[in-house]
Amino acid sequence: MKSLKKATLTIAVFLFVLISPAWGKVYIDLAAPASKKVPIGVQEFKDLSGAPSAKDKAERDKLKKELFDAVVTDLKFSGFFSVIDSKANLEDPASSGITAAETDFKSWRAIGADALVKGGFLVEGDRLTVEVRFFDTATERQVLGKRLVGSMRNPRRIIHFFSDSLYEELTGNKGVFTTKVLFVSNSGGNKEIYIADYDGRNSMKLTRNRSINLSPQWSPDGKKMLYVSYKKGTPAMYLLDLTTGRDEQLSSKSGINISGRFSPDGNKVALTLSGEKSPELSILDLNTKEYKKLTDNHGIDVSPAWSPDGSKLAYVSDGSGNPHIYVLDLLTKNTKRITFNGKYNSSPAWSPDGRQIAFARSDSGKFNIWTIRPDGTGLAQLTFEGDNRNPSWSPDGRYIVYSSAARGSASLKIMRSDGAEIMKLNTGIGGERAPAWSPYLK
Amino acid sequence: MNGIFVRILPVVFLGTALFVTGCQKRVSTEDLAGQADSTQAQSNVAGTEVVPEGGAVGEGGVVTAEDIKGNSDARLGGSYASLTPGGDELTKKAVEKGQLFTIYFEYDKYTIRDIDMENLTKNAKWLGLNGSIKVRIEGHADERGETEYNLALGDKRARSVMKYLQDMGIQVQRLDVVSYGEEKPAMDGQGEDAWSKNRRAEFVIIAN
Repeated sequence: MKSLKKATLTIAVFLFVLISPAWGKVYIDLAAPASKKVPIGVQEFKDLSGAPSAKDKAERDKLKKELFDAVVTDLKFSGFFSVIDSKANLEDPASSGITAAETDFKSWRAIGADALVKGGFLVEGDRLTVEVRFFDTATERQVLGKRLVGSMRNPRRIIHFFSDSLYEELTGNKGVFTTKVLFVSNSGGNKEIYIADYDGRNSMKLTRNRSINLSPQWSPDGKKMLYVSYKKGTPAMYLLDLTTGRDEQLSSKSGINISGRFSPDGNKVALTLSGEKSPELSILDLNTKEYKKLTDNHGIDVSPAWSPDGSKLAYVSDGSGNPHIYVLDLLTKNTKRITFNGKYNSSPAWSPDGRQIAFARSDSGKFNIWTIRPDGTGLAQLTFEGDNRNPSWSPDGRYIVYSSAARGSASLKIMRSDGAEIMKLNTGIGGERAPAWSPYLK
Repeated sequence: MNGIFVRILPVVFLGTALFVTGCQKRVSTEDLAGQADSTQAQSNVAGTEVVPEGGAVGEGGVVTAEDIKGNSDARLGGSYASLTPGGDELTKKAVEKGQLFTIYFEYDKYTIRDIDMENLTKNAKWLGLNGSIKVRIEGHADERGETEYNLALGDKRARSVMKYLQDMGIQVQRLDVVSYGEEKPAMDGQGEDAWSKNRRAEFVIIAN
């Protein structure tokens, strides 16, 4: 019945398309089952300032590659497109233009491209202007065209801005191409915290204290980072303002001050403190600086994850003898255990729509990512190979980033929230762990 | 002409499209039709979208945390690696002479094993005889568990040891506790050989 209704609706929409005299906003239904990927051609970017001097040529060639690579990365990541190898392209970028009028769509249809991206750039000192156009090769129409101005210091960011617009044009939902990821790496000998674009590129070191830095977390406004550092000897919690660089010690009570997580409204931090006794969960009010203890037992309670409405916390406790996930209702104070299998359950992460909790489970020392509903039903395993830990959701809930280790070397991977389409992030740093996906940053 | 989007159903054509934002009608209109040639486009940059640079975490907007000087490098690994300056040499001597013993633990456990009671009692006796010595008990975990849980586990292990020493009459003022979780293994490598040596509570002399 349901599918029949859906089919009728689809036909209705289809007819509307056929009779629609104009083209324009196009929607891809993200809730619908994954459809066949659309083959897309991408043309080499054109230097709109003309032939560069010999001195500039190397820089321009590098820029061409960078812009092209960013477009291809974003298109692939969207999950809607399969990018045709540019070696197959028939149209000569030198003699053709970047507008519909200057494009020989027949040559793109000939290589099987149903869609096409073309672009050009103009360099004026540090100022970089990029024009990007997305075409439907069958209708020979431009679907989206943007001219963006940014900086030569970060050409990829300009493309990510375009990709956000394109994604929104195609799906009606906000894109995550301008989001970022925080992570820990020990590649320099000590664990320091880094930030990178969603695709792992443009990585940058945020801490340089040469101690141990752990558990980076975003503030809900994307402006601050909560983290644990040993820079003064013991595990204390700090807050780094990513816009000003101001670093503040937030919690340095006796014992451990770890696993801090911002509440969705940004006013509180749930964290684990051991004090003189046992590692227990507390809530620190950021305005009053008062602590409120949530758990009181002889065991370990760590890694709290707020529900998006701020009413519950999922966390890890060894109350049953080994680590399992529990959900604490902050209003009723009721605690409910939601995992019963697996020797070791860790790192719960609540999905942005509140419907699922991702976590890492191990039976053998190698972890895999699973999801479960907050009421303990609907358990599903998402990864099956290697050692996969620390899941973190994209702000649209469509993807999960996690750390994945094989033969001792760790890296970050992104998968769709159903476990499909795994993509490795190439940060160029190595040994990446504990990723935290940012909220929307614009 | 069935465009590609007919095939990525459902598709809705709304008739209007948002293009180069801004209010320069000429540029927008040209782009809307998708026919603007690139020369025109270049010569008229009005209506162009500016990618913010100094935003919250935009390029140039990210500032690194300050360096904390004066700390020795945290040596990840090595039995006596310590983040705070301590009596590493003294500790080494005490261990070599059989005066201070490292206490080991079962996987994911923080209770002291019977076979370690003898060594822990020796530690307590030595501390009893050397009343000016203060020690830091460093709790560690092997790498198999999760980072945050391991920090809590290391804390529990160090506190189990501290509680026993207190019960043996050692003043709490002479005992300090820190957990390093899985961050400072005594032995690198995978396998029970390394892991069993990494699940431990170490003693470090911090004053004498």
